[in-house]
Amino acid sequence: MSTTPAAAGYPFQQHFQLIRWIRLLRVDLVQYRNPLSVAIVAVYGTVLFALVVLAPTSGSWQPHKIFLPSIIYLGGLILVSYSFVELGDPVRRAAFLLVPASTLEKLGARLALTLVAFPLAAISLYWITSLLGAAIGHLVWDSSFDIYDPFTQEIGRLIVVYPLIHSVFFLGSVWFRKSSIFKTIISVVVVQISFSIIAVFIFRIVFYDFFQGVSFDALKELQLHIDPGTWLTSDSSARLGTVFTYLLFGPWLWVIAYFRLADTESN
Amino acid sequence: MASIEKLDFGYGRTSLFDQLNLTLKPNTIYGLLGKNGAGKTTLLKIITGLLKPWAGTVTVFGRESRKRYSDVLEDIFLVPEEFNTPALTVQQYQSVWSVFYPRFDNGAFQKYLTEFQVDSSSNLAKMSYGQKKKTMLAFAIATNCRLVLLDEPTNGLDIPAKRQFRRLVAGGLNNQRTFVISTHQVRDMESLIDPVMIIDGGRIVLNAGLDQLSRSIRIETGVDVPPADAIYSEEGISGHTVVTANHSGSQEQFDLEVLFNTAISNEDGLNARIAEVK
Repeated sequence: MSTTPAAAGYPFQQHFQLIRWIRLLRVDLVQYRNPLSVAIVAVYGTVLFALVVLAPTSGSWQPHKIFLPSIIYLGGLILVSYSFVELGDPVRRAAFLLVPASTLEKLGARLALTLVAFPLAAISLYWITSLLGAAIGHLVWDSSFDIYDPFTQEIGRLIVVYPLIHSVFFLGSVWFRKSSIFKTIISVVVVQISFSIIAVFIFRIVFYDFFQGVSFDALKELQLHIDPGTWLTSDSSARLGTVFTYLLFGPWLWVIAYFRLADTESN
Repeated sequence: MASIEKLDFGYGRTSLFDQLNLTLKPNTIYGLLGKNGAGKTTLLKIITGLLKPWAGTVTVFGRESRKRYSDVLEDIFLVPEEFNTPALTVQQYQSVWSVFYPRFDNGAFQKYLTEFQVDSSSNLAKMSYGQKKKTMLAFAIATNCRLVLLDEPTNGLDIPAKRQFRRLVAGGLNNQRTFVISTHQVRDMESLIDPVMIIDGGRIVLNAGLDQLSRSIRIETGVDVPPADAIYSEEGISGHTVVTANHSGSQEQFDLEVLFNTAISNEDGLNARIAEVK
């Protein structure tokens, strides 16, 4: 009798097979379809109601600039924080870890659902909701908000910013087994404060001559104030920072999440 | 099939296994017996890769279990004492999960469900613990995984289901497969497990086949005074139950519970006697 697995295949196939990845997606969609359906109906029902009720005020403001980012960022943040909710429960954790799929496939499936499928579905559903809202608004009030146009600059910003936020909360969902959303927020704040303190100390030492004590005015004079919005138009070093922040930071955190998941045990 | 070499493992600073060695062979139903907290469940988790050893090597099908290779996981199935049952019908569960196991036998699964009297249109989340367990056991056997690990499988099963379970496991065995059944309910496993592995104090204190055991020792009940050379004796309502060396050469039937107590109380005496007969 052979003692080696029948389907060992090439090394990469051991780590990623499209068919297994699709099966994982299917498992998640089937298992979570009820809570997902409830959430979709609740959120988009509320949005539709608001679009219809507020339709008479349509000339004075643009609801799409508030509602859609709220759904994407707030809803996405909550969804991403639940990416690995089973790790918080010993029984479900064991079942998840023993699913015959590699860590890369398991992580990849959750990444695809939360990073790609969720924003696409959210935008598509929002467009449909705005269409319905406009139709109902016209019928009821004879006025309505514009139908949402997804091909705007706002979407470009979302494509850049959402993965960044996603990566932080995705890592948090692997790292923290319980209440990952709150622990991630606290961790981000703590890390940010720590970096700020370290940075202040470094600047204090390196730019000793400029300081008469630690002063934010002194930092301002050094033009070290960081504003993500102006980075793209500033000098090349700032552009490098932008590239790192928006292109490398997210993948870096996903890689950490991979190793953390691979290292997870079920005691 | 699976091999454990010089395994060290523990929780926190407390060591549970110290230099544990074990080999699992195909076409065998191992009975892993031990007291509560002896480390039976931990051992199963280490074999599947759910826990990583402090030191030593654990391989399944020749590959390190701690790596949790997908193609190895396709050939291992663990039914833990507590398990996850999503809000799906049995049919939906089968449809979604069976595809991960290349040799899953859908016909056999339906047959096992019928034997266990489980309705495949029932929702798993709404079933009783016993019904859930029957479903998971049926699924485990139907996967045709080469290594099936069952942790306290008879807990929660009614008396007829225990008999059906024994029949299904015995019927599911072939020369490619191994079952490891961890339990402290030793009477449920009589006539099913062979060999018997008894774990105590982080060590395998007994690992012997029933044939070997029955040729080595005999168990007598209702004995007034235990003989001086008894390997083990315990006092009961109708006298002493005594374990002595079997010098007749004939094969004796015996009680697993008494065997368990003997192994825990006099490991050296029991193993010395087994070694004599070898």
